[in-house]
Amino acid sequence: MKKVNFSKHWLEIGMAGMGILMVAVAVLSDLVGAGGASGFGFKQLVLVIVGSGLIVLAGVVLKARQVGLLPTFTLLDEAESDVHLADTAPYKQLTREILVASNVRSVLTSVLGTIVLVLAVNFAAMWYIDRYISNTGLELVEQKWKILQNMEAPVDWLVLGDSTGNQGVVPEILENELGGTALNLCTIVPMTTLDDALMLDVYIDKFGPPKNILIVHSYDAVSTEMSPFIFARVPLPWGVSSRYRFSPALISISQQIQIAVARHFPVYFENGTLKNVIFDGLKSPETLFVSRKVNLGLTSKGYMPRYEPRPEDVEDDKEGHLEGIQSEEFFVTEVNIVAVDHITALAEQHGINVYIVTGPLYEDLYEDRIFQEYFAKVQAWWSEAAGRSEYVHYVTSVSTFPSDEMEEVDHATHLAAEQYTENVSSEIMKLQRNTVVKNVLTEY
Amino acid sequence: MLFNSQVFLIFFVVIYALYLLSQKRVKLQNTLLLVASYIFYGYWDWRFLSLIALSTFIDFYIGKSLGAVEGDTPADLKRRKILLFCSVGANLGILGFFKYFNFFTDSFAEMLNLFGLQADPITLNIILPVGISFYTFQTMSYTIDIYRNQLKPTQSLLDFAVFVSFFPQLVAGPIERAVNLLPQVEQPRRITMEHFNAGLFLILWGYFKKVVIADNTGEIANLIFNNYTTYSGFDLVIGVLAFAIQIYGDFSGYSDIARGISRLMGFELMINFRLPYFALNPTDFWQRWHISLSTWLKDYLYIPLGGNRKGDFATYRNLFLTMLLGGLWHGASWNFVIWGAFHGLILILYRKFEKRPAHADPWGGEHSYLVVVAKMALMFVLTLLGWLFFRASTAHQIGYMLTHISLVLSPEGLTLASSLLFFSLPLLVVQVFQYITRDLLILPKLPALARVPVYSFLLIWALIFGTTESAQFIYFQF
Repeated sequence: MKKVNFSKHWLEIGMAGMGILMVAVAVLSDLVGAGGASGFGFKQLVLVIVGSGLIVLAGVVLKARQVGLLPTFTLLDEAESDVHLADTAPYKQLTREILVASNVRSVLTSVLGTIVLVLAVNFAAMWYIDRYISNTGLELVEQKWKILQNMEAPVDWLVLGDSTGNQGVVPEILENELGGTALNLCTIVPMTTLDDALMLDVYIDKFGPPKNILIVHSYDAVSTEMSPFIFARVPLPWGVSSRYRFSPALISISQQIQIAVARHFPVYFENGTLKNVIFDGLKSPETLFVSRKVNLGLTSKGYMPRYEPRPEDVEDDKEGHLEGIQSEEFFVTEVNIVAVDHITALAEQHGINVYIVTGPLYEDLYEDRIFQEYFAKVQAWWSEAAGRSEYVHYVTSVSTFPSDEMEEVDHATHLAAEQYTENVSSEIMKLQRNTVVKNVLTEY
Repeated sequence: MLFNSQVFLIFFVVIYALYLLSQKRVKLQNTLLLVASYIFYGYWDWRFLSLIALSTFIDFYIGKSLGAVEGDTPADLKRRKILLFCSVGANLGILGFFKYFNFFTDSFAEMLNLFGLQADPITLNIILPVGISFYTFQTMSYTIDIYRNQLKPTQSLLDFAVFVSFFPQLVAGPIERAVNLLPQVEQPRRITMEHFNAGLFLILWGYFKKVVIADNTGEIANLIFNNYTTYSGFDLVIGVLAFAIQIYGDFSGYSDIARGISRLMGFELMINFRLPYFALNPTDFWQRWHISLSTWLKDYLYIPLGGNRKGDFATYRNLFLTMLLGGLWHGASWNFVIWGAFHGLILILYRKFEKRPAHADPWGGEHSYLVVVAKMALMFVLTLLGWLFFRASTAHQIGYMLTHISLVLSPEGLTLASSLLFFSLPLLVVQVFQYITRDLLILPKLPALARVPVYSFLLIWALIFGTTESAQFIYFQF
């Protein structure tokens, strides 16, 4: 090219310019230390690949235009352009389609203008949700991860798992019974055991391997799929799997893309929340800018005590669970298989004692024959997974409670949580004694 | 593959890129379109492909044979008739078997049971191929037009196969005529900026109508229709209104997306909807609703039956039969037949009692706007009554709903009505604007400062209120 015609080559110039900008941002962000703990991260890599791709594409388009290969949009001939094309209709009141004279500029204005405005509304929605809206589950995920990231010293007992553990394991009781310090980082079921694996990796990165981990899950946790929308609340940067020592397959590339999009595109991924905001706003506009943030009431050790039992809800919940069990065979989702494998491998590698227990259960549900048949398969799977490493132990006994000590079939009140924690501690101590005896016997 | 699915988005981006790259080579483009269309159709169920291929082969070779018979001798005319009957017979046979076999055997058995004769119907586990009603009508129109010497048969199997299987309109119309679509397939396409601009708008508007309006009002309709005995009064009217908006949003939304996608590729498909709920009488309604079907029925059923050329009785008979079969086309169920009969009846009544001839300008000079609006309202109420027959699942439901309608609105009904108003208001505003300006493409003509916020509103609303790919288009079941 001897001369750049800005009017004719605006597309190529635009693409090349965008590409150069992306590569520059990637390099600059690493130079100023925004690449993260391990330097040039996933985000920068994506920017470089996309940016370079755009530059190459600009060159290809330029060459294609030179040799006449580039598809062209042709405008109507001049003679026709004065006439508005109208389809024929039997009589004049029938609404017709009358085409409007258009050019590339007007189409691009529509497309790019719409995209820009939608993005602006999207970021406004992000700001609004962050400032005014609260969802207990999502808030819990975010707060537990912040506790982990802000830890200043290691603990002896790291408690991981889902909401059954979040309000079922009292760290102070664990400390009294088993000694040492404990921290409850349990979140919610849709985070799956992947959350346990990730937290463990982050902990190892900060403090080295913990001595003991207690993993508490609801009986049906391993049948859950990971929710990218909820995972987006984990305050880790992009390309999280490339930064930590676990296998990249733990979170697939497509899942990472979904998480990234979910994080930055609430107009689509938090549309349920926004729908409620709009409807509530229409009913009572004065509430639109009133904060609905909730206080989770977490203790300093991450435990969330609940004091109000809900016996009627427990009974209804039980029926729902039994229906769910009957409608589907027991299965384990891929994300849980991979995550548990990873935890087992880390336990083996570092000698971490891992104790896996089922969360507190409503006694009537546990004693139901249908539940027993299903639960036997759950236990078989966990036992098999735990059997892969001498350091991983699955506690087969289950603590059950009456409905007046539960909120739901697998969510305990504080009264039940105290007893549950004591029971779990007792089982762990038995396992520890058995391990010592076994080691002694092996030695002799 | 639903239009409102991620799979289709990826599919179309890839196909469109390849389509643009092969722009100067018609044969290559048509091959690409054929492969893409068969992938699109096979994605539903690969077994359906054999049926559409069979239909294509039959009508292509019959069309060629028809075109080869050029003489006027009695033998030639007889041969042409036989060929035509073969085509129509094969197409209707396929359609009849896959769509109506169980319906007719069940109905026959029930009729025998009424007379005390026990009969076990032979019910086969027949899967209804998606879109079969649409493409069989489309291929039939090809051979019929050749028979009528209105069209020369194409010599290219490739072009004909593309005409039959063109993916944007394959599964839910518009039912294209060969005289319109086949020349576009055979000739190089020009993608003008006007069509590209209009195509983008139609896709956006179509998606909005489908995922925001149709899917959300559909939830209201389903709630009331599926639990009709727990509702009464005006709540039932809300249910019917919701269905009316749902079916319009769903069907016209699909048509708009199909036409918009076609426009991006340089194809012009026929308009299928022209603001039907603004119709003043049944004839006007059928000039605005599912136009591709109504014109097909007029050209290939009503007119061959004699149309309005043989006196009042014959005209009424022909109208009634055409609408009856039009109802049956929608599905193998008696409520569709009743719906068709209902529309036949009101067509007859209007033809008999309306002072102005139905085909004349419905507005005219002597009617006041108040009279016109009253006519519009009356026709809308009649349309709603028809939709009740269409949507109801049993005769009991029809009877219950008709006998329990009143102006009393319950608190829950008020909530549902508010919800219905919320979702249908954008549609109403845009359509009034389109009606007043008599231009379905009025929105793309807005100045950029107005156009961009309107488009953004449609897209944002679709993202917030749109359901995911779970909600299938209603007309796929036909």
